Amino acid sequence: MSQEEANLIQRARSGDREAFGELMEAYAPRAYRLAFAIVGNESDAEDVVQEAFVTIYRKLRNLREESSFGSWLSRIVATRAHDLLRQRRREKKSFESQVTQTRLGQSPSSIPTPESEGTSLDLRQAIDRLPELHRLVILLRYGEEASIEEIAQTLKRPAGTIRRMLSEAYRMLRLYLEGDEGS
Amino acid sequence: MKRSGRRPKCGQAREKLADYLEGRLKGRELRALEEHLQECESCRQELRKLEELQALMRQEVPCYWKSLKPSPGFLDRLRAMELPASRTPFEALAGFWQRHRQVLVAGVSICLVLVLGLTIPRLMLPKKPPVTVGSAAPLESTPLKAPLEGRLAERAAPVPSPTPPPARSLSTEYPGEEAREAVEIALSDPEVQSHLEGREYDIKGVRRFKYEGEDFSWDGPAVVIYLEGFAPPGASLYVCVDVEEGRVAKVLLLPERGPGPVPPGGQE
Repeated sequence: MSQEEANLIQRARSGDREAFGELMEAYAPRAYRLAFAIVGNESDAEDVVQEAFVTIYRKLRNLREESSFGSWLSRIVATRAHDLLRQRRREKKSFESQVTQTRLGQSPSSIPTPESEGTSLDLRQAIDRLPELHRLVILLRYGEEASIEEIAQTLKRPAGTIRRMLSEAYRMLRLYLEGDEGS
Repeated sequence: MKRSGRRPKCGQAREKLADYLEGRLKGRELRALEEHLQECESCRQELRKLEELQALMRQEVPCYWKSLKPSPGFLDRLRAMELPASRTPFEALAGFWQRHRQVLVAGVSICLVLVLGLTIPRLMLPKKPPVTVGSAAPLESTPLKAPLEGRLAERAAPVPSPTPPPARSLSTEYPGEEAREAVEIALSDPEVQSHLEGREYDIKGVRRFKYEGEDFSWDGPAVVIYLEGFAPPGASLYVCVDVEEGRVAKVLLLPERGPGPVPPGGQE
């Protein structure tokens, strides 16, 4: 974390809304990506990020170390996103099952992937097919370049579980990419 | 020298390939895997494929990840959003109360009921008069047969020592130190313990006690212990203590007034 960010956090903690605005601008893209990876749609992901920042602002006095701001935000976003996902599933159980069936029924090549081609297209499809937590682990590890310990903190799972999920995700991805999933 | 027994088999080795590539294997585990890889072409191929996959992901996933962006006006909306005032500790407490008020009220009510239920019955009990040293009138004992003596002897099996009552002043006709010692000797006696076990009792004092029975006579200190709920009502244990020898000479169960006839029309 840069000194500038640490100063922003300190100022925001003492009630400076302008400083908090700058913090939101700096951290919102990362928070949005995490939320999107969990809830899977733009508007819910934006709602999650917005709520997370409100929570952060209300509890900012409790933050002991400025350096933990990022992981604190990630934890809150991940928790809210999972809560929202569960709520959505409850609300639209029957609708959700229809959508899932449709999605599973699609062949990999029929999933729309606008700006991708060649290997990346296959890889994105394969990542999309991973179970929810495995997908998150891969995205945080390679997209966010997060360490195993950081992923464990964000997803509130033991580091050993994250390592196991990572190994499982590699195996599944290779199966999907080599076209062996049906066999 | 062949050491294949310590090396992982292909299945185990492949489980560890990801950890190996990320540098998480150490010591013996690392050496065993590297030895296996030197010998096993199939696992080396697996390792190459995994390396390729990781390289592909390092190349592709960040592009995909960075392409996830919120809608164009989102950051502006965030900045324009109305933020609540950050909370003081008092506000945090008030918020906690608002959220969990039903549970808190239920918890406090249960505690209150428990406290009242435990204290009211105690307050309703009649208070015992305070006992002070020398406040009891001396009692001149006269010989009396101890009808339950045989039964007492049967119940003399050793039992765990009851918790001694809190230190307090004793009604005694003996010097304080001697009286306390007599009480200690009496309470540690197995026969006395068998009488006291599971029963409310009250040490009345240490009195000079004269007794002439068929097979036992005594003229010395006796610890008088009142037993709740014992038949006959108001019966007390008279524990004859030989303080010098540190032993109980005899345990007698006698009416409240001790040896001698109970005066008609009252206890005092």
